[in-house]
Amino acid sequence: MIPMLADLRIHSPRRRFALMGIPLFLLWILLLPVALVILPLLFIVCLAVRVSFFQLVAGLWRVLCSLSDTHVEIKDGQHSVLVHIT
Amino acid sequence: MNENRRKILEMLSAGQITAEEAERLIGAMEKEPPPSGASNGTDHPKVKPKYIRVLVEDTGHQGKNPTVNVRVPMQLLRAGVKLAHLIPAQARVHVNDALHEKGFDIDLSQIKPENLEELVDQLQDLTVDVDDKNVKVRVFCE
Repeated sequence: MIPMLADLRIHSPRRRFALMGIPLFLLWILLLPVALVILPLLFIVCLAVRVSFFQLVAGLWRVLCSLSDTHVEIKDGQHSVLVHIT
Repeated sequence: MNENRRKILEMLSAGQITAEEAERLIGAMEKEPPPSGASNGTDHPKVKPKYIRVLVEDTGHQGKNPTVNVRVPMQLLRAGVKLAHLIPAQARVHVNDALHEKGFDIDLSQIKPENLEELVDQLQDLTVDVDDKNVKVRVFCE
């Protein structure tokens, strides 16, 4: 299943920014029309470089679906960044 | 106490994982069926790793070094290898050359989706520990 939510937290001495439970499913809905435009272009590119279009789309879809449970947290002194995809 | 459970509790007490993650790991461990074969006297059930974890901890007293906590799902690794297999042969040569220049003698064409499960299974036993004066790096599967 594609990731549906994400948490983003950025802390710095000057700025604190936290977005918990970002609804990624809304992003996917917004990106759907863009994908419809990009897919034909991708198909042409695939033909040009002799890569299977369907395998490529399946691979990209698999990567997207596998992003769930990815967690990245970096702290450096007073700065910190956290990204968690659910 | 089970060895794996003890490791999870140690990681929790060291602050490497949160209580929620520890609970999930213990839950996953309990769901895992006991090994069917002979246990050869040890208590190490073969749990398939779900994540690859990279931890960089600042062990110095000044707290100047960055700390990193990255957890990548194995599924993403699998998907990445399958996607990398689609790289055209000409581009793969360039990637191999670039890796070689950086000191990595890896031939991407040798990493095939057919060998992927074997590779992931071998990763289960992978643990990299680097202890420096100020920084401790750990790479392991969980």
